[in-house]
Amino acid sequence: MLKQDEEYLSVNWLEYFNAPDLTAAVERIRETFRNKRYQVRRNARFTVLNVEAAKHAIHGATKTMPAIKHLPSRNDPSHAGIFAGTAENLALAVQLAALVTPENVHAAIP
Amino acid sequence: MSMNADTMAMKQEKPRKRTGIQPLEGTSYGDGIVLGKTERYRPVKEWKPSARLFEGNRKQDDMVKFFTKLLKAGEVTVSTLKRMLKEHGGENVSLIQRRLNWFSWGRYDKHNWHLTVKQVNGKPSQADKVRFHQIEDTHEAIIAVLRRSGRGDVADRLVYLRCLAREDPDEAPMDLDSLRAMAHLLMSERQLPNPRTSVTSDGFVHIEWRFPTNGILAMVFLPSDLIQFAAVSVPANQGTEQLTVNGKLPRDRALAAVRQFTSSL
Repeated sequence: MLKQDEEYLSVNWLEYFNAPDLTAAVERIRETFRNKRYQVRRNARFTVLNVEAAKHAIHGATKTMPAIKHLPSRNDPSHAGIFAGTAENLALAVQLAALVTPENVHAAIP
Repeated sequence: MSMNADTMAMKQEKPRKRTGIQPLEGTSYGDGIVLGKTERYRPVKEWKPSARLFEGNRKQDDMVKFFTKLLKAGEVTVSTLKRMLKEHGGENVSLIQRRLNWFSWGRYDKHNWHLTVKQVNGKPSQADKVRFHQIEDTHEAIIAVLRRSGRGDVADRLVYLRCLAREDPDEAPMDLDSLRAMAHLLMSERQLPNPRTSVTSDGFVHIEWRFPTNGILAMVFLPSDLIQFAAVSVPANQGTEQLTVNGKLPRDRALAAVRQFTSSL
């Protein structure tokens, strides 16, 4: 869920890395988090969502199509943001969470 | 330095006045789970509503004084007192209620002290078996109550989340009222399976259940006894019709709004 002062939901654009497969792309994300010195707990997880599916799900909560923008930074070139307007935060979170299945969940620390 | 008998007598604690309602001590029966004694009260004689209390104008004055004292001491909540009056008050109830001026006592309800009023000679009467949880004003006490009511997994998770918040200065501490509201819901809706539990960035308790269809029902316990809820029956990418509901309502209305979802848990 978004915090009060956050404008968008932070995500990472996996295709940015041109990695040979999903596992390698997720490893690049882990590397990015390490470089950013983010505190990642042992039980933390990344989930991989399809952009179209995510947009469709958010539309289910907001009734408007969200904007997903590439927002690169120096130590996080694949960083992106989902701008979902003023939707009820929890409704949006539930829509996105429903897309998560065990198959698209990856440990943040392998 | 010597101390004479008079000085010594003054040092003695003044005995507390008995008010008649006794917080039960670590007992559990019927639907009620009562946590250990509070330090605020000493065991006092249990109060049995007497028909004589409700007779005549002078007695009515006594009752108003008596109930005012109970409310002021935080020994009874407005809702409990209202229920007792309804059950035992007879014809004078409305007059007494007017004189007590409930509104001004509303703030005492936030402590959530629901005390069981037992009959003097033992077991609680039928009328007493409504729901009584004496929940003290600490996270640990509420978690202990959850554990005793068969929600051990939820209790373990809450302990873990509290540890995380303590370790990380950026994490908001778990909101006590939010935790209490969640505990009340899980204890009163015992047919619900244990939810997955987390804490929002504001420190409010968040619970959720996942359906076999991969749908989700989530609740966040906000201040003022409001529950923010949202549910979807299936993921949006399934190609089937998706039932959704979301909103922010007081507990009972929130539960009614998600009944369709909770009934399939």
